[in-house]
Amino acid sequence: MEQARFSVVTDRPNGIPHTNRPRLGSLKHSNSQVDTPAFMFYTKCGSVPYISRELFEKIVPDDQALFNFPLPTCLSFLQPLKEFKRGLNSFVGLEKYLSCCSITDYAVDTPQGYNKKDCVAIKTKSGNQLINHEKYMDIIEVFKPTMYVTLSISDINLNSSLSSIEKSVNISNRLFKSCLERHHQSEVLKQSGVIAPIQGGYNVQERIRSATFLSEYHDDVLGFLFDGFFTDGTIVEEIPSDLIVPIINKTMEFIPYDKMKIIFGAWTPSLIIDLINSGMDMFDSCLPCITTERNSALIFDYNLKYKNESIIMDVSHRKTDKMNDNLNEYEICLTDKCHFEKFVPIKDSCTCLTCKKHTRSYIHHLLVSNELLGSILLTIHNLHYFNQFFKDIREVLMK
Amino acid sequence: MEKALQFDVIASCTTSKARTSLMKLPHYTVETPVFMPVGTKGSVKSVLPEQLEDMNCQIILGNTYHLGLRPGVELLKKAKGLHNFMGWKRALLTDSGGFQMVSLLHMAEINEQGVNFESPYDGTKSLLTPEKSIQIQNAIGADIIMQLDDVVPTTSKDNERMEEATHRTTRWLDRCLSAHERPTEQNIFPIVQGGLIENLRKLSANLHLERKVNGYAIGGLVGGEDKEDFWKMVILSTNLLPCDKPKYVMGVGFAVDLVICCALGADMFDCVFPTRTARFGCALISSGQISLRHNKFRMDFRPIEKNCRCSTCKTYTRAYIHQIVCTEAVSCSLLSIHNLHYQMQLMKGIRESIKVNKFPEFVQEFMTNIYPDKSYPQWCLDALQSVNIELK
Ligand SMILES: [Zn+2]
Ligand SMILES: [Zn+2]
Repeated sequence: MEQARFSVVTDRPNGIPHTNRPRLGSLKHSNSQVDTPAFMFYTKCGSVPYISRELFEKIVPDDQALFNFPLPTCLSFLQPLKEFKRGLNSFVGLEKYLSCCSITDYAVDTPQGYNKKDCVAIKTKSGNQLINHEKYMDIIEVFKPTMYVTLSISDINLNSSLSSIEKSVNISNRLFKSCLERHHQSEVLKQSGVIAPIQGGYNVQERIRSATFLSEYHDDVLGFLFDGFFTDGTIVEEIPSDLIVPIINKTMEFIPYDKMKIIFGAWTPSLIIDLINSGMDMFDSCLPCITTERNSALIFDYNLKYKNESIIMDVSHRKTDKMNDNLNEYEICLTDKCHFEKFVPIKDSCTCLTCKKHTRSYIHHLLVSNELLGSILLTIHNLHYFNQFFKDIREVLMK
Repeated sequence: MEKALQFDVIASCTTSKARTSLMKLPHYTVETPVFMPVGTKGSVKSVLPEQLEDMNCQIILGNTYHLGLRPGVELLKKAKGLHNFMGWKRALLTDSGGFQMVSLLHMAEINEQGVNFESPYDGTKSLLTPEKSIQIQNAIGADIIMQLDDVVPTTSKDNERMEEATHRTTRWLDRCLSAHERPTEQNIFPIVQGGLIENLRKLSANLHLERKVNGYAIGGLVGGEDKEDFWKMVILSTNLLPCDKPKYVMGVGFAVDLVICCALGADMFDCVFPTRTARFGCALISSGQISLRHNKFRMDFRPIEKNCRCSTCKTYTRAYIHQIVCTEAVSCSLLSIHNLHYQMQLMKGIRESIKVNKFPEFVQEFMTNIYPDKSYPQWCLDALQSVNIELK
């Protein structure tokens, strides 16, 4: 079997590739195909939080999905996987889907530091594990993902100093080279794609330095990950658009047009649109998962248009509930008392399993009673809604 | 006036007292013997109603005590009943709330009026009377509702108290029956009480036989009593209760108990066991149960049970569940689904074997799986012998 391949399918006006434009693409691997812009399904310990494979198939009935497995949550599978031999996604019951391994859990607050020289601290529940590139590639050979991010230092956030940013770029570049060398020697990994993590924090010069270095190896790379923007996955929604978008726009110029561009984290829907307009292809489902964790449901009304070579999203602003004023414009909190006797679905127009059958009142009851089914029903809705959002984005780009 | 319950025995075991029947209820026709999963607060923990239907679950149980506190009667009325509120189209049964109060609350105090208790949410004092219990259960709208009974711990040695409770239970039954406002849509089941005292059990059953009801429950058991006492009380009750009405042994859920009670002529059972044990990482299998927390499953790449057709076993291995058990919420769903599927299949096996008059063979095979060395507990041998089944 060959490696996964990514191709941009949008027409290039005048035959010239445009870097900062939304685009349609497709990721293919044997019989699977994921059309982009899309997102990877965030998993924890091998499963989408609260969702069994059976339920997942009810949320995403077409077999096309890509799962992201953050290493800190599945490092403990290494020993059984060595004996199991059939790879990580088979082990967790998702064998028919595409898989990606990444180094950070982008949905949680990860403490910085503890890295030593060229060893990266993988922050698992049972403590930190220092991993060098050899050990990392051993793990990847056992996990056998469709694609993986090379080992890197990415624990950079808005407060990081220039010197720690420089250090993260230097080490990550070195690690990338070492991982790549090992990748080429590996028989097993012939089927796995490499994702190069661009570091550099919020410093444009460092981003360019990282991107320029990694781009030299573009023939060996399936995609590029825009990494190292945050360490606390729960506050990504607070990062303002004008801090990150210009950096991404500029960095895009230094990496090849036809590779898959990836970013992880719970960015707001409006920032997702901005990033797609910058040429981003792939996201993850941290946003719907974090929304579920705060007992909330995505319900934003949006209207998408394609105009002047970019997507414009109008979000009709809801009258903010007084009890809701700490929440953003995209969601409602189902534990709010106001839903106690609302016998209506989370969202009238939504066709998800939850909305077709259950009311806000029932979900409110389950959540305040600490019944697991409440979070299950919320996840079903949030993932469906997020999935639909991306379908609509692709639709508007197809016109 | 149409009856809210129609009970037709389809086949009876020619050896034992086991029988299989169709129990037509307003929301669903239930095949008995049946195991009813418990949905305490309006959901069978971590399982969707669709998933329950997929595993051929036909009737589930809700707890009046919990539902009455939260979301409360007023809301359930506005929601047009629990069926509607929780999106469950098939049959429902609710308990009276009394047992939960007495077992969960230290403060509960019983007198002729009813059960006095303190709300665990706000500490306010309330009184649950038989009338009040039925009023709440009428609002919940289950197909079968239970009378409020005077519960005394099974193992209590206070015979005087037991006698008082037995008589009071019948007095409360009458109050429940006269308070019942929806007799064409809901069935009140009386509860045969009497602890482990034979004469009291007989008395209780006989008193209840005089009332016009569509089915009976056998209560006050499964409270830590000796298994020898348990089965004797069950058969004593099933012998007295009429053949043309369903008999429900409350609180039974262990596989062995289910099989034996079916042999003794019982039709309905409920227990939190399969879903509760799932939350603690236990899976039910034909040879008993396994705790997936155990390290020996780390490299066990088999499904929980070979040939199990549940959605968990179709996809997941013991090794993977071992990794996520008790830490990831999804493990609760996976194990609950397997365990409930196991219970449903067990009951189906019982029903099918009765239909072809092979129930004794079924019991033998079932017991051999659990006790391959034939170390059958004495009470099982005795109970089965009483209905002419001799284990090899
Ligand atoms: Zn929905
Ligand atoms: Zn199973």
